[in-house]
Order: sequence, then structure tokens, then C-alpha cells
Amino acid sequence: MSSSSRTPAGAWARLVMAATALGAGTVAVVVAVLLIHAVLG
Amino acid sequence: MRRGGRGVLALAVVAVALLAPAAASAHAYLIKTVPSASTEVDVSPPVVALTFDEAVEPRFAIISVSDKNAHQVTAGSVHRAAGNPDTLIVPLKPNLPEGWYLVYWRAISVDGHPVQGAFTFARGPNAGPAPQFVIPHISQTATTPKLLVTRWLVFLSVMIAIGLFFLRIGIARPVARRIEGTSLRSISVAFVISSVVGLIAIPVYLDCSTAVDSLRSAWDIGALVPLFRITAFGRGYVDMEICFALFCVAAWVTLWVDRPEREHRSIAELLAGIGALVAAAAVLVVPGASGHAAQTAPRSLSLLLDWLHLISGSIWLGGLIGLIVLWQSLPSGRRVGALSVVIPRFSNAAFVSVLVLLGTGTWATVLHMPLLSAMWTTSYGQAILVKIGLLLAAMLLAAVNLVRTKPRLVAARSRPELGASTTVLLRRLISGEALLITGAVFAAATLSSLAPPAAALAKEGSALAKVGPGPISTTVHKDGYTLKVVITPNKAVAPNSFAVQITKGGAPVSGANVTLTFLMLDMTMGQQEYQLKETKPGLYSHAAPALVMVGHWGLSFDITPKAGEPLTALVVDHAAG
Repeated sequence: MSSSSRTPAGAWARLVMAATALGAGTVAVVVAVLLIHAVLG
Repeated sequence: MRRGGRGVLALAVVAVALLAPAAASAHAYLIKTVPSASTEVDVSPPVVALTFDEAVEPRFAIISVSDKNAHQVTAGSVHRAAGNPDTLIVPLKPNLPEGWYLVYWRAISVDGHPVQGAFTFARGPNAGPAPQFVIPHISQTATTPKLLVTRWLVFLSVMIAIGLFFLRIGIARPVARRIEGTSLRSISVAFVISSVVGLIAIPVYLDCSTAVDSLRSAWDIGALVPLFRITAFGRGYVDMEICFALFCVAAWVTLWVDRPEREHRSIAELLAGIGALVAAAAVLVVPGASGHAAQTAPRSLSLLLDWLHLISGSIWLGGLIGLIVLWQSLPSGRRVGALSVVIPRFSNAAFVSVLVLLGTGTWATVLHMPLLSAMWTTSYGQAILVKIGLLLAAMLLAAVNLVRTKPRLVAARSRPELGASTTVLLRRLISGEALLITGAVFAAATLSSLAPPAAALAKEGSALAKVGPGPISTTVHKDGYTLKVVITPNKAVAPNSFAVQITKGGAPVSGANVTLTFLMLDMTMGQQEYQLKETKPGLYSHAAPALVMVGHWGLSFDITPKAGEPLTALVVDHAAG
């Protein structure tokens, strides 16, 4: 992993994975906000 | 900048807390019945209809109608009235014989707690005297051992997973760089195990809980899954599974891209880490939003306190479990060095967490408890006391670590002979601490399964007398008036006679307006109000099936004399079955 990450392809793969993680976090926040909105409605 | 960002976020949350509306009642309550309670009807009613203050799901409701011999007289299943989602209907057998009938109902409130009650009606015209019915017993099923254990597993696995992730990414990361030959793989593996347990435990708990509420088998999954999102409680746990799964994806990616041997994080590491942390924060919103916090006024503040409480508890508990795992996985030669890096960093985080845990827990307890004595007189309060006791013991061990073990570990860098004994002491203290917090989480799982005391319980302190069970005749004094209160037979679900003889200076007080209000003190439900009629000079009475369930009732006599100031006299009555 460490050696592949030094290649441009490896770096892009890591960035795509990181963006996926950020997207997952964002969706989780949206779900939580919608839940709070429904509760406090 | 990071601190600034946190400050803005905190201000935004506080602003939302201040602007949001106050809470409504926590439980569905019955506001109307057809036939009316304790009345006699001359024609056999085709149905029994119960109207609640909110929409109640018929698939989670029971309406039992039985005669004096406990034979069921219902002729179909419970369903909603056409055009009125707040009313539940159960059809009855045609041409019911004359006599008295007991209606027993149970429904599930939005926060997942069962609410129940009973009343009687008579089919006339010659129904005869009302018999004493035996109330069917359906336990408050949110606290069965199976549900408690699965709920505990959910809390533990989710909190430990989030705490382990925080330890691995935020606290223990420098160890791999500073102490050559050390690896954080054991913490990552522990995190993956706890996250998988959490992913399984949440749906299992939701399945078991829905099965209990809908009186089905937990294995009847095909019938249970469509019911998951019917109650607010069920929707909350489905959302929790979604958020937790997203957190797991983000966290696993973060661990995959993380290179702890580098001092500075790459952009990919930062993005993934932020994604995982916000997902973790979202996960910990859900238990409060689907539980008591969302039903306790002011709701926004309760939600905020619950969220901070869970975050701090997760950092503390997950961190301790991570330290135990790290201790076990490190070779003895590198143990002192690695722990001397991690422990001081973790101590700081744990210290802040404990302070937040204490503050939010105390504040939330004040919001939930209508009066101090509810801490020892209600099951909810007793569970809080057990939790406080366990956390205080854990804090004691944490304090020993902070003032004794941490400095010795730091000193061991220059005096290696201190290392071995210190790490052994550390492992024992941390293990004890983790065990105590695990017990506290069980107490938290228990208390979040119990209905919190009703706000009306606060009135108990102003009661002039506490009476019952059984027939009562008691005399109280208020504002120069003497009130003799008589309740017979003072039994739940039976017609009772309520009377008050009012005198002043030995003379009966005639012509007063007397209202009697019934308030259930053991749980939140609607209050009933009756006008008392003067049957003799100064004697006011009424017969009503007002004590619709076993428990403690606040009987508030609001008296407006013809001349003089109005007065209110509160008597707390214990009605037995």
C-alpha cells in the first residue's frame, strides 16, 4: 500500500477513497439532521 | 482554526437549542371512549372505539373486551377508524348479553414505551352491580432481560467502536512514529470487530423490540421488517443502522489511507478522517432523537446534552478498551515507551470527557427528574443512582491513573526500573475502569428502557395527604377550611365514589363550586376533570371510573366558595387493582 501510494495512480486511488469516506460522513449527517428535524418538527 | 470551527459549531447548536420549540407529552393517552367508561348502554354496541391524542399504530395495539367471566367478546382485529387515524376500533360480537364488560387496552407510544389502561361499561338495561374485574397483566416489555442485553450490546459496541477509532486516529497515532517497531494494528482490528458487532446488534435489537411490541416472534422477520419504520423509535434505530454503516465505511477507509509513520497527514487522510468523525457524531445523535431526550422539554437542550454525553462516554470507554488491547499487543520491551506516549495524551482527552460526562449527565438528570425524591422512589431514578455510583468508582480509578500512573510512566523514560511495575498497575486500573463503565452503560441501557417519571410527580411534594390503597377517609386542612375526603372502594378500573365534606369553623360550606382533577403520577397521560355535586350541605360527591389504572394518582380538589378566596387541596392516592 505504502509503495503503491507513491505512484500517481495510488495517490488518486487514496483520494477517491477519501472522497468516498467524506461522502459517507456527509450522508450520515444529512440522515441525522432529517431525524432531528422530524423529532423537533 | 480547528478550535474556531468548534466554537462556531457550538454557538450554532446553542442557537438552535434556544430557538427550538418546547416538548409535548411523551406518551399517547386516551381522550375518548365509545361506549363511555362506566356507563350503561341499552343496545349492544357493535364496536369499542378508543380515541388517543395522537395517531396510534393498530398493529402494535391490543384492545381486549371481556365479560365478568373473562371471556373475550371481540369479533375481529384492531383497526383504525376510517378518516380518523387517532381512533382505534375493535368489533364486538353481536347481541352482547346484559352485564358488565372490561375493556383493557395497550398501545405503543412514539418513544417505544407501552402505555396501557382499562375501563368498564355495562350492557343494560339490567346489567346488575359492577363486578370487580381482574386486570390482565401485560408487563412493561421494554425491560425484558433479552431486550436489555441486546440494547446494552448496541450501546457498548457503538460506543466502543467510536472510541477505538478516536484513539487510533487521534491519540495513539504518534506511537508508530516515535517508538520504532510498534504497530497500531491491534487497535484497528479491535475497531473492526466492535464495528461488525454493532452492525449486527442494532438490527437484532430492532427486530427483538419490534417483535415484543407487536406480540410476534422475533423469528417472524418477514412480518417484522415492514413494521420497523412505523414508530419513531423504530425509525430512529433504522437511521442509527444507516449512520453507523456509513461511519464504518468512512472509518475503514480512514484506517486504510492512514500512514501513522508520517508526522503530517495527507489531504486524503484528512478528508477521510473528517468524514468518519462527522459520521460518528451523526450516529450518536440518534439514541437521543429516538428516546427520552426527544420527549423531554426543552427538547433541543435535552438532545444536545444526550449527544455530548454519548460522545464523551464513547471517547472514555472506547479509549480504555483500546489501551487494554494496545497493552496486550505490545512486546514487553516497547510497552513502557509506547504507553508513555499514549497515556498522557489519552489522560487529557479522558479528563475533558469525564468533565463533559459529569456536566451533561447532571443537567440531563435535572431535566428528567421532576423532584429529587424521584431518584430513589422510581425505577428510573434508581437506575440513574446505580449509573452514578459506577461512574464515580470509575472516576476514582481514573484519578489514580492521572495523579500516580501517568507521572510514573513519564518518569520511566529516564528511570526504566519504574516501567514494569507501573504498566502492571496501569493495566489493572484501566481494566477495572473499563469494567465499571461497562456496568454504567448497562445501567444506561436499563434506564433508557424505563419510562421516566411523569412531570406531574413534582406535585407530590405539595400534597396535603398521601392515602391508599383501600377505602379512605381522611381529613386535611387548608386556608382555614377542613376537608374530609372519602374515596370508596378506591380500586382501579372499578367505579369509585369520591366525596369531600367541606367545613369552616365547624359549619358546612354550602354553594361552593368544587372540581376534582385526576392526574396520573407514575406516567404521563391526560388528566380528567369532574364537577362534584353538592348532595348534602357542604358534602360534594361524584361517582366515576376515574382511576383507570393501578398506581399513584394526584387528586386535586379545586374549591371556589361562594364567599372567600378559591383554594386547591391535593391528595395523593394509591389505587390498587
